[in-house]
Amino acid sequence: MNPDLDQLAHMATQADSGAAEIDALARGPELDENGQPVPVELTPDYNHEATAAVDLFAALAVGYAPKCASVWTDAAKERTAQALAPVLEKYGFSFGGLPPEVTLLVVAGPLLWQSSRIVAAQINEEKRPAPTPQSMEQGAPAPATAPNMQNPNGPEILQHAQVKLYESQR
Amino acid sequence: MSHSGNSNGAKVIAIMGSTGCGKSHFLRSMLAKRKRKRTLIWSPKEAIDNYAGLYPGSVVVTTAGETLAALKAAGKGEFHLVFRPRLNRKADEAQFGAVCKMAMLARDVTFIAEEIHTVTKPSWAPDGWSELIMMGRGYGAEVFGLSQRPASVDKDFFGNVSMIHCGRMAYDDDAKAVAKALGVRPADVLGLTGHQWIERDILTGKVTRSG
Repeated sequence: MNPDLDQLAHMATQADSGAAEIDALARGPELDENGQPVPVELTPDYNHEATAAVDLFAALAVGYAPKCASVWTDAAKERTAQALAPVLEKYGFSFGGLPPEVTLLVVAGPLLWQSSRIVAAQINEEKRPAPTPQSMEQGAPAPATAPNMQNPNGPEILQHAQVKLYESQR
Repeated sequence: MSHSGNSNGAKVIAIMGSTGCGKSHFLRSMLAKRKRKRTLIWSPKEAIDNYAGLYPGSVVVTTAGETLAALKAAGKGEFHLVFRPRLNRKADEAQFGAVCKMAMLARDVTFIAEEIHTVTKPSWAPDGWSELIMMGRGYGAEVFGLSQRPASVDKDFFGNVSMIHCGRMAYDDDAKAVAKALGVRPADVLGLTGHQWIERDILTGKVTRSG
């Protein structure tokens, strides 16, 4: 027995890690009994997963409420992703395991929502009555303003241009 | 009277020279002077050098784990291991450091490292190699370091050798590096041809040249 050597098992394992990767690459993929490559189960990159998740959520929030863009800054997203990564790792959660329908809903949902609002606004705009030729000729003057005689320091009172004509004849 | 200096320093021999200058021949002549019962050889060009044929019963290993297991199995008995690395710098450096450490702690091992410029750099070497060179004597280690590119070998190695043997060199920078260690002019090294050599015993300072 050599107690000095007994302490080197961990060091040997670490030293061989790089060589093991090279050997795995040199071997190529493992083949099943049919000669087909056996899929390799890769450990998810949780930092990447967390960053993608936060980006997705931020896009979701900003898509629904564009004012959220001021909240989900790049720095805020990075901090959140750093905090999320160990949680994903703890529970072994990977977005790669989500059904594609859910991913589609999350990605396309905000876009569809904003699109529907824009379309609705355009429909309402088109429903407004078109301006008459007469109003076009008169130029439909904008409401005039008149000083608030009861309270000179108060806000100006909106006054129709035709009313103003009557006042000038008094 | 024993020499001064670090009494724990291993018996370290540097063998430098271009390919085909006779490094391996010199090494084998050194090894033939007495029987070695415990050898560990780092052999990147094993397919060509065939160190496994040097000692009967040699075992070729390719991982630090295999090396450790073999050393533990051998205990204080005889063993002959040849480590064949993959010629991938990063992986080889890690394994070389570990194997050096094992060679030291296994005690009374003759460690031979071929092409050490592939696992050390002029200003860096794996910790295990540095420890073996500096403290190996206390563990009964004997070390032979070989390279055809001494300019690319860690400088501390030359600072700890007890003897240096040099054949002809192909490049100026290699000739300068080894000439400095030999204590001769670079032109003397560059002037070597064929199987000519220069050797210096660091302990006595005696410089010997081939005839």
